[in-house]
Amino acid sequence: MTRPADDPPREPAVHPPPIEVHDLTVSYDKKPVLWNIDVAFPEGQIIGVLGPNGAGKSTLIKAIMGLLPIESGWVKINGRPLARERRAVGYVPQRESVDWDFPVTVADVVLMGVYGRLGLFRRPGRADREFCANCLEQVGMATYADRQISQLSGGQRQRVFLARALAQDSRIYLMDEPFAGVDAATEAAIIELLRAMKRQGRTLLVVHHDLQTAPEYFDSMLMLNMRLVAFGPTRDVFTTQVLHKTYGGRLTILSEAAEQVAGTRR
Amino acid sequence: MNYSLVLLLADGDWPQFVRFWSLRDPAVRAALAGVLFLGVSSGLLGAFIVLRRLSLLGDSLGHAVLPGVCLGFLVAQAKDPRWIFGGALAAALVASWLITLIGRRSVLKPDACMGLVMSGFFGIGYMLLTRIQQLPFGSRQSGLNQVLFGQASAISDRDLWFMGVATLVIVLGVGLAYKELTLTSFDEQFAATIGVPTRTVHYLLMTLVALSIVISIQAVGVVLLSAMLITPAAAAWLLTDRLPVMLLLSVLFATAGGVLGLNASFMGRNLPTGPFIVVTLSGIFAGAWCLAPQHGLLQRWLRRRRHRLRAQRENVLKSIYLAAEASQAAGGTPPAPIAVSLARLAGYRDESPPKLRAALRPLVRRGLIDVAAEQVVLTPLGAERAIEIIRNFRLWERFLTEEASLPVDHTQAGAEQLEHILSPDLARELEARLSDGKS
Repeated sequence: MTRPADDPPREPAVHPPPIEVHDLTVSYDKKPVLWNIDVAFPEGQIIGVLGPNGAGKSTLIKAIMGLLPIESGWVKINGRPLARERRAVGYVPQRESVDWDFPVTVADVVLMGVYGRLGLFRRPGRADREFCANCLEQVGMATYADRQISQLSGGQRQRVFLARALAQDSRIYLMDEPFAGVDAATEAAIIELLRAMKRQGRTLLVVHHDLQTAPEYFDSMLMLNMRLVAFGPTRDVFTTQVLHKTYGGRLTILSEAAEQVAGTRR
Repeated sequence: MNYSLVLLLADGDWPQFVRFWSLRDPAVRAALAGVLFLGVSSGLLGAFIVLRRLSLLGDSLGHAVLPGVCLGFLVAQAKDPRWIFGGALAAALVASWLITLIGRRSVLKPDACMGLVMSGFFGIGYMLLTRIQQLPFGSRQSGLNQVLFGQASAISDRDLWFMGVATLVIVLGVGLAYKELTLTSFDEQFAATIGVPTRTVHYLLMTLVALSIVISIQAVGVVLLSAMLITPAAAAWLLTDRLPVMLLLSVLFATAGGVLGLNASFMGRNLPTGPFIVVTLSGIFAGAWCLAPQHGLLQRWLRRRRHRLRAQRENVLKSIYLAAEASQAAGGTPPAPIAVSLARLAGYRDESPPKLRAALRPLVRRGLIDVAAEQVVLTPLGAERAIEIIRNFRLWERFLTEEASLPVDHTQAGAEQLEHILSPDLARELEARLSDGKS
């Protein structure tokens, strides 16, 4: 007997992209900050999201993660809505987004990575703890497991967030400025870790602001300035012309338009 | 206990004290049970309120329940706990809804919204309260004017029932949603991305907080009840960096403050309980603030003092070495044992002989120097330490001038500070870098 139609076919004819963004417009406080973004990210790459301040880099990541209301357009993960693919996507927020005086240990924070798999009200068990200890080991922070998180340096905090992401064990990761304000040793360790994750076939979307290191780190790049300026392999996109278009003067028109749009909505 | 004893001595009322702790009086038993329920519920919830920076919201809701209490009384025309608790709960929920609404539909920030709603509701409540006292059935019910500052001895068996059930709900709620409450308190965005219903968790917490506020009206009173939520949790946070320990301490402090405050108010015969409980809690907080192991005032003072004394000792040690070096004609490394006369050292340090002797005493005690026949001699240990300090000082001075390219007159103070705290590891690294620069 055939299955009822409400169960979608398990293996679609064409393998869907890990992340597909279609005609996405997002507004902050009634002011549009991302206009009509259309992009499909390829699998198994480290993809950089670059653009000037206020270009909407973090906004794009947050909108994909469902943290911001979408004004129009849609996002699909593995060809399905995010709500049905949450476990496929891991998220590394900006380091400053949390209070590091919070009374938890490094191990506690990493353990939060498995909460998504546990579901509501269920407590993590011994196997989860061992798995997290292993994740902490991979970022070189095993000896810090019992430390309170306020005692960590900026780079160590970033590693703890990455260990939590590893504990999520997702196929796709969205990372908001993982290299911001870390020391050189940590930066090297992080990129090594990201490359190891890529070798396991994972897809990594990384918000980045340092143009110096960008071409060395990323397989593909998304150039963003409120709208999508360019997307493609690094050697095609990381050109003087595209950079000029991304960081150059044209943005004033869009931001002025945004102000006016916001004005009509007040 | 000590606190109660102090009050006991002041009053000299031994029989009251015995009456309280013998638990013979049913009113005392009911009040104690009520305060214990209160301690557990507000201690638990308070920890999350403080961690989520919602302390002001707790305070606002506390004041906002007053009109609900009065309306409940007006409807029932008696002090019926069902109506009083129901009215208070409804007022708290309406107030929190209003705070959110004003914030969303205006440019006002949360603190202004909370202040507006809190004072408005409290004003209405107080007007209703004075009106009720003029009503014929109002004057008979002496219970209602105690809602401002609380009177635990007025807790009836029926009140106790409500408080017990509410406490059970709160303990179960926190126990069941502990993982979700912790996660959303620490990192709400991350929680949302893994599918935790953050808004539901928030409303669950706020409902439980409203419940705990409602049951603390009787014992603490609407004016001060937010202290039950905030003060014990704040004191607990200063003492630990583990959430489970914080919850435990918070509950412990809240119940201890409740019981001791109740005892104190009982000794004063029918004084309102709320202020006594809050003063006791504030005392606990002050103690925690002073004695906290890491950032407490006492620890900080001791640490600074220890560092200052060490810096003084090391400076004396350094000056002995340098004075001995200066008295060498050639100016090279002084021969072992390094020694200098007291008179010369006093001159070098520009210090009176009695002051110098006082400064030398701690060094003698530590076996760093010997003083004999007006001569100061560095012991092998003292010489080793002196050389280390001087090397640190010169390393850092060179680092500042060469690597950080500061002019020489800027380096003195910085180097003087750092030589005492430079770790051996950092000193080695500094040495390596400076010798690298040379080659």
